[in-house]
Amino acid sequence: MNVKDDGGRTHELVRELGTGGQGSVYATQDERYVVKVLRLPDEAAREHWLRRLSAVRTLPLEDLRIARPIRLLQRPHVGYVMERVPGAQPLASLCQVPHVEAAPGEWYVRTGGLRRRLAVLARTARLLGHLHSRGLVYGDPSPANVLFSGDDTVSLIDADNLRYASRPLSERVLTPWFAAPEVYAGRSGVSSLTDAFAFAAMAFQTLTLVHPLLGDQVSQDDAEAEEAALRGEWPWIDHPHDDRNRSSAGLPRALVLTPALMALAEQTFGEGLRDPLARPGLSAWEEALWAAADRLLACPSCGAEADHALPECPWCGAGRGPYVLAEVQVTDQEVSDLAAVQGVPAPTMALAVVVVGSDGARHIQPRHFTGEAQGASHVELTFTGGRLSVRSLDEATYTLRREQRDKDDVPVEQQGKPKRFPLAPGRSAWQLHLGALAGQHRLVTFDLVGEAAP
Amino acid sequence: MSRGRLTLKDITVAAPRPLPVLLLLDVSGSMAEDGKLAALNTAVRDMLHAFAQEQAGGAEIHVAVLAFSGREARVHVPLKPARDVRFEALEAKGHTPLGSALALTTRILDNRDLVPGRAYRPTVVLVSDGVPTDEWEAPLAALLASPRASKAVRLALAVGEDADLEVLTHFAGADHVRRAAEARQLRRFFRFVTMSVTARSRSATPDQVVTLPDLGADDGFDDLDL
Repeated sequence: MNVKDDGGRTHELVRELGTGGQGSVYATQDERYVVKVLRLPDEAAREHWLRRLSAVRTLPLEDLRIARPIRLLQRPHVGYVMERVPGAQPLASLCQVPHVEAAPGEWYVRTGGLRRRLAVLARTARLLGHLHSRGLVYGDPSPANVLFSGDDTVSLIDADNLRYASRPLSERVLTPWFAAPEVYAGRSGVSSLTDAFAFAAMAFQTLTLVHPLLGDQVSQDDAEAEEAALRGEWPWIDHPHDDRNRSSAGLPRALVLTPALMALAEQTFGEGLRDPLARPGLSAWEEALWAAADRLLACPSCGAEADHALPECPWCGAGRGPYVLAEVQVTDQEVSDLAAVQGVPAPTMALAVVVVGSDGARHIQPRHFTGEAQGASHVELTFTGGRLSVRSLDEATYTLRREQRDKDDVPVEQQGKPKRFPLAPGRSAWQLHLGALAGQHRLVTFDLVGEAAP
Repeated sequence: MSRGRLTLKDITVAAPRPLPVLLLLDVSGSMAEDGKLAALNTAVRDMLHAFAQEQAGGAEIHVAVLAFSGREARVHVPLKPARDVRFEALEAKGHTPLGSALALTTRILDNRDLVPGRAYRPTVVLVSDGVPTDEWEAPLAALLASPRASKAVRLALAVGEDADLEVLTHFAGADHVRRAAEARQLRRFFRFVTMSVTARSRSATPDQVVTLPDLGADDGFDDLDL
């Protein structure tokens, strides 16, 4: 079967990749592209979609990972050609437990556990946030149209509903479980605030495996109760004071949501359920999701990951094993010197904490300094055999300095050998300075928690 | 987290809501002509295969196949999750007892053991190539009067030139009836139903309006069966 695009190129459709409400997506002979063929009931719908698709093609998306229509199909077909994301899976594969799965908890760990979920969600938040910062609205975020690849890179497909925020849509475009209540109920078109709700619902479902609005009562009742809940007529499942819609399903929230993430959920599904303006935006989600990922520690016994602050591995009950807290701070040498002279502790301002377990390298990234997730990593930290290794990953030269002993300064250079030093429980005397030592700059301190390996 | 250790086996998720699909298939003797039955068997098999692939999400597609021929309708595949269905090809013979099929449908949809209250709105697909040979008005009226069966999404396909369009229109309403003159159109009808049901199962909306495409017009997807 062949279809032709408006550039005159012929695409041979070789395999159906997926089917949705409006059409099907096909792999083509040329693996750089896929073709979406829409199935529309009549000529009016066809005209409408052609106008819509033409509009989407003019949006400024070049540098964003969004599979936008690059060519429209020639008649008699209605549809478009888009770039393929090889090897990508939908977010649905992380948030919708297969019906045959007897042990959802084991499935959760097997499909990437918390770290992958947090990373994929953080990158999704980032992508949607970028759209919003350009005045665009995605329209219908759902677990089916967020794709992630093996390295957790995220792209969005189904750009059909993308639009400028200034031109709200009157028609309903929605995926019910992930549509904002006002969209689901038909009171409103889509906006960045409805995108924010959809994202929050996806994030909550992906992390906890329970939908934030569908508690035990609603799930047992008939389908009308579910619709009412999705219209925002029930309290959300973790409402602090209203127990009507509690859920016994899913993962314990304290296990998979940091306090910051729980607060974002409460803002979105509590007050934000009926008041879109109360919903936190995508950048708040992105920051909290990355911060949660930085706090993870892999269990030395079962390998599953959980927040390091939990007293034991919540998945298998094993002890946590030692780990290092790398805390990024702002320091000012003059202030520190002054504090030393006066015999008081130097004031610190913590920017980020990265947990370094013995399960693999961790990177100090631009986002730990500035909150901006873009850009290459600065430093790699590895914790093995009771020793911490520090390696520069970029052009800069960093300085390992040992306090209280003649200021031993050790340069950490790119291409140079990793610098390694032993750690005893508590704060290490070694600190990593990033930037000129004089004046205000960032530094990383290291605290060993738990017993050091022999 | 409560005290007492959580184990991975303790975690549960909400059971998916059933999304029932009932196929009412005319297998009277005339279906054996012109390859209609072969096309029907293939289309149903493809549909069941597609449904079985949909194994995650808030809805779980359940399927029943009711065949009507001879004196009365019978359950060819009892209502169960699509992934558990083993479909054996239907054979054609005898009359067209549509009334019996409608009565059986109402009985199934009204049975809360088979279709629990928490199920999504069922889809009933009626395929027929002939004129009913039993009394069908009263069973249809009973179906339309049943609080539960009347809520079903009803779609109908008339196969061949001899099908009684009027009866099918009574059943589904004019917008939800199509005529298939050839196997290709029958396949397209089933593909459309498959698509709309799977889309519903993913999105978990029980009340999505189904707009049947025109099977006759070249709307750009008839050749896409790969």
